[in-house]
Amino acid sequence: MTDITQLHRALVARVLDSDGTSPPGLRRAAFDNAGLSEPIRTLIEKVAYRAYSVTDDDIAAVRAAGLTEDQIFEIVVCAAIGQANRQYTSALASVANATGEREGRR
Amino acid sequence: MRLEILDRGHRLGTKALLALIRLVSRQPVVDAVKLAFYRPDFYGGGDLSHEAMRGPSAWSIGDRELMAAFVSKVNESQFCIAAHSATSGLWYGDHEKVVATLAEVENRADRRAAPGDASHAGQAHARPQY
Repeated sequence: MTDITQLHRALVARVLDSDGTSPPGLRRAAFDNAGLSEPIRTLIEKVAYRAYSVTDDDIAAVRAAGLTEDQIFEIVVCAAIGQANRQYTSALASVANATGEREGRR
Repeated sequence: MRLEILDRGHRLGTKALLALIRLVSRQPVVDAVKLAFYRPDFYGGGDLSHEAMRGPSAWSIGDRELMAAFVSKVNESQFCIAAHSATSGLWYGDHEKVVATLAEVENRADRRAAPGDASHAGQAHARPQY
């Protein structure tokens, strides 16, 4: 296993499973960008696909729904890493496909 | 609204470091740094980033920064496009080469994402604007 693979796995495990201020289920949902209700859904969707479009109102709405700043920090980090993780996995699969190697041989 | 914890919630040692950065650079600390330095026990992506961008690789640092600039273009993050393009250009000693390569790669991506092709709808949406 390369250093990068180890560090990558550790990062994902840390944001999903370590002690945090937000419930692990919420962090997982943000990571997966799935199963969220408003207004969190909109914020997480934007972080995953259109981070440049996040507005002050998006953050304010999530705060008004009862999340603390630390909880918002955590779910935004989870959302960003989740999306990056999907793009990374997809890119590795594309490279493996293009070079004729079996996925997972890295 | 922005998260106040990213302006005022850092640990004491980190606050001192951020103050030093402001003093030496005479610029505000960029938001990406404030985020990366907040609760490193939770996020702490620095080691992974450093290994990927500066660790042993068949790709030069300039190559990796160029790829990061391209990914930033797809993500439409103007700050990250500028930062990675500048670093890549410094490495190659040729900023124009970076600009030209990014434009060429994007033109190829555009040609592949034919209009009306539903399978590319996501990418079309994610393409950067100029």
